[in-house]
Amino acid sequence: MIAAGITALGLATLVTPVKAQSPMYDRVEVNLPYTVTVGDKTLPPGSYVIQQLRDIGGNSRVLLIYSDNGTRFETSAVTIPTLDINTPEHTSVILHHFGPDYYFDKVWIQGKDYGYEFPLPNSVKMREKERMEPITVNATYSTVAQQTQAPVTTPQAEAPAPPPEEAPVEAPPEANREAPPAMPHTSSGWLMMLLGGGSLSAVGMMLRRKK
Amino acid sequence: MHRGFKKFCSYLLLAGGLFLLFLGAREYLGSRTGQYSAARDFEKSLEDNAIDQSTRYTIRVTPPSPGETFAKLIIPRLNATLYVVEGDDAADLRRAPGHLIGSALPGARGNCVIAGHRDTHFRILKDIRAGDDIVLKTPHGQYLYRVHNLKVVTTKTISVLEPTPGPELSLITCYPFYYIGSAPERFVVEAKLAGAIQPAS
Repeated sequence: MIAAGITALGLATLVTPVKAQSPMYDRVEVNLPYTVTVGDKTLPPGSYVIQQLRDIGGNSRVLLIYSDNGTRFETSAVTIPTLDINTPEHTSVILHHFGPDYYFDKVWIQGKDYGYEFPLPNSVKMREKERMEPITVNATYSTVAQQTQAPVTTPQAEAPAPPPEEAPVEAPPEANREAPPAMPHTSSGWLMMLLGGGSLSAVGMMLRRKK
Repeated sequence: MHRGFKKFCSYLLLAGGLFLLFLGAREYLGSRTGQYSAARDFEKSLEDNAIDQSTRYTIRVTPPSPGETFAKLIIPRLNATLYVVEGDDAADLRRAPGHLIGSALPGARGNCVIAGHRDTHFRILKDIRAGDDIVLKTPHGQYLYRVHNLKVVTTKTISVLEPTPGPELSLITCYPFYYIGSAPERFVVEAKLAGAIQPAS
């Protein structure tokens, strides 16, 4: 269960749309708000130009990435053709989000039913595959269970609804621990002690005074 | 020699008597002052929990530590308010009614057993009756129990301490309430959970 939770958390792939500007034919300007990794190159936040490699056929799947308003070459990436039957209305660059790391995922171009998909680096694939692997931890079953408390929900209860990701795991509310073996002693006997003490003291005083 | 023996006996009786007076006073005064200190501890835990709730919603899943004041028991009809500590040894019960370690916590499924002295805190139970409401307030919620049964059992009837399928509350004290010496029976108040009123704040 814990392994599944960690895996689910780690694999929560957040697809982050990034606003792109001035879409042109196979040339996209984008302002990256995060540090994005492309292959072995890390692009710090800032403005970039993503441009299709112009080759003879005009259908290259290689994208070139430039900074400084398209004047400084940063890196290139071989992409996979991808189609969208719903022709996108806006040009957008989609990022993968794995924990603190961002990677290019897709580039969609306004008015075109095709896009560019960036394959994930092998290191990331391996890492994500490891996260997917369930981890089995040996456990011992015991008949003496941990006492737990859980709130009882009724229509009158006004318990605040916690966010799902913050809600702690609620342990089963059964009280299965062993019952105490003996009745508790529920008499302090303070009155008896006072009466007895008073009597003994009185007798002691009488003995002292008696000649 | 005879006079010396009498003197020795008188001192012995006086010492024993004063010791018993001290013990009796300690029991009685301890039951009074114990409730004050328990109330202070409980109010502090309420404040701490309020801070926790403002930042993160948490549910307590661990039992309180022995001696910890963890609940406030209110019987509205009897105008009684008592603070409950975890544990039922002599020191615990001198301070306050004690929750039996191992029994269910307030609001949880099972039998929540609270024991108290018949001659101090739980003397009020002589006036309780079926249908009375009992409110157990903890830093994590308020639970309303309704008394459905009162019974007197022997000290060997430990079945009243055993877990129950539903959320129930058992208040236990010695019986008869007015008795010189160790009372031979136990008075048991059985109540069932009628609902959670609201989270404590």
